[in-house]
Amino acid sequence: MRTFATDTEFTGAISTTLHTAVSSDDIRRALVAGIGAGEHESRQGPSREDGGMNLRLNNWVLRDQDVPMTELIGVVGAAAAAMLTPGGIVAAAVVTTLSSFAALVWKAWRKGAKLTKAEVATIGFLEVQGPMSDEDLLAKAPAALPGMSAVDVQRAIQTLQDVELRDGNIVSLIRRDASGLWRTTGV
Amino acid sequence: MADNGRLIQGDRMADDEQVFDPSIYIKQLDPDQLGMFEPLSGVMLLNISKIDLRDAARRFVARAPTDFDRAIIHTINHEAYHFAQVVSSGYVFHRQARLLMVFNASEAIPEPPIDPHMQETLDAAREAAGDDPELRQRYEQVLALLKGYNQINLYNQLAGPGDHSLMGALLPAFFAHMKALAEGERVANADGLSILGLLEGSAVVHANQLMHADEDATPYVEAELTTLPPVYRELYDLTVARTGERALELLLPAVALALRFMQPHNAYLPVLSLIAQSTPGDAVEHGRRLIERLPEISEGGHLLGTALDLRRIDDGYRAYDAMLGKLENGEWGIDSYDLLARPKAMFAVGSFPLGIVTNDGYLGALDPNELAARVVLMGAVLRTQSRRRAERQWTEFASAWGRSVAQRWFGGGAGNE
Repeated sequence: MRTFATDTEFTGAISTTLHTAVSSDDIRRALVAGIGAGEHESRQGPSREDGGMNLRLNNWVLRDQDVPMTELIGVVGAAAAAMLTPGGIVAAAVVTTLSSFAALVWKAWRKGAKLTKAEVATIGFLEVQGPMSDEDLLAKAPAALPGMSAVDVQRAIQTLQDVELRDGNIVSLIRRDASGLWRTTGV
Repeated sequence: MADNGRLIQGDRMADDEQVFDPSIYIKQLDPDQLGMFEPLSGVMLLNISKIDLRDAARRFVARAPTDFDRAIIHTINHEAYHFAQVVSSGYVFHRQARLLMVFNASEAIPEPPIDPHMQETLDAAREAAGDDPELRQRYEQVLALLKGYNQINLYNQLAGPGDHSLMGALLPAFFAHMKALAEGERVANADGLSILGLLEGSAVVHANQLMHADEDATPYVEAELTTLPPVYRELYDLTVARTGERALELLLPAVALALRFMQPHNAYLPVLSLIAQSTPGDAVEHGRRLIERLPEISEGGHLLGTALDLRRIDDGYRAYDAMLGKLENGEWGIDSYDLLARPKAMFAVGSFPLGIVTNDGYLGALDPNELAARVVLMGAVLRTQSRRRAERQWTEFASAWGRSVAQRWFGGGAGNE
């Protein structure tokens, strides 16, 4: 676990972690901004009075288990963006969606959601590429991410509607809208 | 379900051993929580996996710890001081004994009644079903649906806002008491010291004095305080302001005596003044001599004494009996005052004598049944079990029932009536 005195130091460490997974500076900056925003929101949530005697840090914290999740956000974010920007130029609209994808996953993760690679990929493709039908989602995510099958994504669609957080709340991170397309929801 | 509020009896765990799943009782700590001591059950929680804890301990013993290993050992020392506060001080022992009393006094939640008109309809349906097994099964399903619906509504009304736990709904009075207690302990007096500040600030100083026993711990204390929320530094800042360079020598002996009062934060400065009359280097022994002639401190409230003093006059709270016995019969070679005033006294206790819970399991030198019972109590107090899962299951059951009804009415086939 590493601790940081400021959010700038924290996001600097996130950026370093993403360096291997994300070669594009624009994409990396967008993801770092999203994770930073997600972390800010997580820290502002109410902490329940639990009767225990805590040793709780005021600093910014990056645990060992946060590193693979950070890298996964990078891999998925880069893959989802690559399908929209084959030429490598990242449009402003894509930057915004990448940030919101990273923020959504990071907030859920920090609140205790245990997300799989397929679940992060499903959120990533819906957030970056917009609402999708089952057919599009089952085709696009596996095509962009090696080692992922349509069955994995199909299972993720189910499990993302039943995500338990550390405080016991159960949330849906995706929902089907009136037109039958899947879209992400907040956490 | 309604009697889940009384899971303190160890023999109950033995009976249920074959169905005991510890994972549902383990509190997952927030990312910024290094550890926690849950004093009602006497269980220490660490934000680390079991295997990582063992590896860290091995490296520490081999004198090759990483920064993270040091942070974990430091956290254990911090939380162990909270354990010492319970077994040594009148204030914290009394606080926990009272909490247990409220916990056990909580009334079981009655089963919510079914609306009288609905009950009439159900009674008629039950009578019409007669001995037909299929109709009786339908009747039972409707009854279960209604009871589940009523129970979910009742639980949601009873639980506090934002509380998704089962225990929050089952024991609302207990958690309301705990909330009021915690709020009271956060209120700082005119000198800027709260009870929480006293409890946490002394644990910070203790852990650093123990980790740096052969050197001046001041820079380590000050460095750690920069990483913690403001309440942790109330005690240190106040002590430095009043006693300057002698702060670290005087702080723990003064805390050890102040925690014998009902309002320990208000007793702290008067006690500190008495101990500051010692010659440098003699604060711990001076404090010990003060015990026999501890004066009335009106702002400190009632003089409770030590945990042992309270345990001798009331046996309602027995969670710490084994440790109190060792303090009383001198098995550790230290007394209640030592444990709070002298960091090195912790070496006499050895490894943590209760239970340690990691992210993924628990360990400890206790009898497995006792440890399991403590973990269950900890899970209840920390509200680890979600009631939203049960709600989801009810919703799925209701959906399945709705589909079966639609199938019978509109779907055709053998089930159509």
